Amino acid sequence: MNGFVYQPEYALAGYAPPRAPLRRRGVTRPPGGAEFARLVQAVAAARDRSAFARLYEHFAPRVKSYLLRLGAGAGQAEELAQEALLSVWAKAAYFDPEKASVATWVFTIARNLHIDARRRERTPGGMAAGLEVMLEEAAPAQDAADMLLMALEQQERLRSAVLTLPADQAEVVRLCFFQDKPHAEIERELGIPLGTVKSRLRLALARLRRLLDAQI
Amino acid sequence: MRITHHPDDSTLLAHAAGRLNRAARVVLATHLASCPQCRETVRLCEAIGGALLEALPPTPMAADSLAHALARLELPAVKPVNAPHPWMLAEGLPCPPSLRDFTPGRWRAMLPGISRIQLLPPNAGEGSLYLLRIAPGKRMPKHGHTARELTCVLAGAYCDGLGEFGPGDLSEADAAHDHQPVSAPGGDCICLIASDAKLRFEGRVARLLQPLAGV
Repeated sequence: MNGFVYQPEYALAGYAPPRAPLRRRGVTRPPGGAEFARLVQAVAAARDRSAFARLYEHFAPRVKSYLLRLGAGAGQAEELAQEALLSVWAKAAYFDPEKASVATWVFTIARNLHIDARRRERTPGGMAAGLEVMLEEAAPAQDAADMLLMALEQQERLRSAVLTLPADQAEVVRLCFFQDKPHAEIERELGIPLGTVKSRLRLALARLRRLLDAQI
Repeated sequence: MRITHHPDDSTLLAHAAGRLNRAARVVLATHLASCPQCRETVRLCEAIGGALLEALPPTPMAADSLAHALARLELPAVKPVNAPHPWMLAEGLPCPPSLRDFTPGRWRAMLPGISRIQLLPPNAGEGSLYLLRIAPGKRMPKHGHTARELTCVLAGAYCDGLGEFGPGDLSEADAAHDHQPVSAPGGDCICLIASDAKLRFEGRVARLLQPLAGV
């Protein structure tokens, strides 16, 4: 047991219901992710240490929480969270705000570091999983402000939608991301059949896809 | 390449969440490399991961953590390692990028017309990963699975109760699924397979072969 107690309310606490879709060009209220995207671009373009510090203070403690939920020890979670943010510094030029939010990018970095760490535990001296970085490292985005604004809006809508999934779908999705266990064990944990776990995951994805399609 | 068979959404979500073993990851990566539709789904799933990460209550880092990190920024960046060159699966068929990390193995005969290269051993905790090469028009012994099996076709094609599978197609079999694949005429069918457990051959002769098959 990794010490993670399932708390259905935590992911929803403190979040406002989804905002009305923002369709117009020239939106007045910038999506929350825009600030982080600017900070990453400042790190990439100017090696801006204070921008890095702000990213660090926001994301490192969340990455640490994520790793703790996956069953990492406190020391390892702290260490990998720092590694993840050092990767943000090293790879900032590859971040493409049109493709992913900073939170999503950081998530994939932390996920891959955790996969690598687990693999090193199994096979000491094993090589780094260079090919396992599943997020494409695209060239820096061109200056296409409209596209970027749309992407940021879409990321923000998706974020709200994820946090307001129906409770039964939210539950399996969260367990899928935060517990390092096969679907079959999620099934045992929730006392529902494997088929139901899978169908709830599918429903959650279908719902999010619909939402994105409807608003493009 | 027209891909008609895709992994289940729940499998792609588990992949994006980092919950699959290495064997399954490699097979999915092979499919994803040629399937924009599934790559899009994985991106959506990763965005879910990002949203959930953002919503997690923060756990404070050590007091000197940021200072430490800033000091480490001075260190010279590690140069990215060049991806190894592709090795040949068969004449004229280089391995896909997802297999470049692996040491090329030799084809070993399993049954007449069927040979295999084991890439990850079944007992290392990362799933069993192997390549299977089936001569054209060959019928495999009927078999079931005791756990999930993911197959991605690299060359040629085969047919089973679920349909015809060609290059890039991915088949997901589970414990409830018995099948007897038949390779298409033309060329060898080469598949990449990740399995969480041993195959269960049916019939006495096939069962005798099981220890030899070792998969």
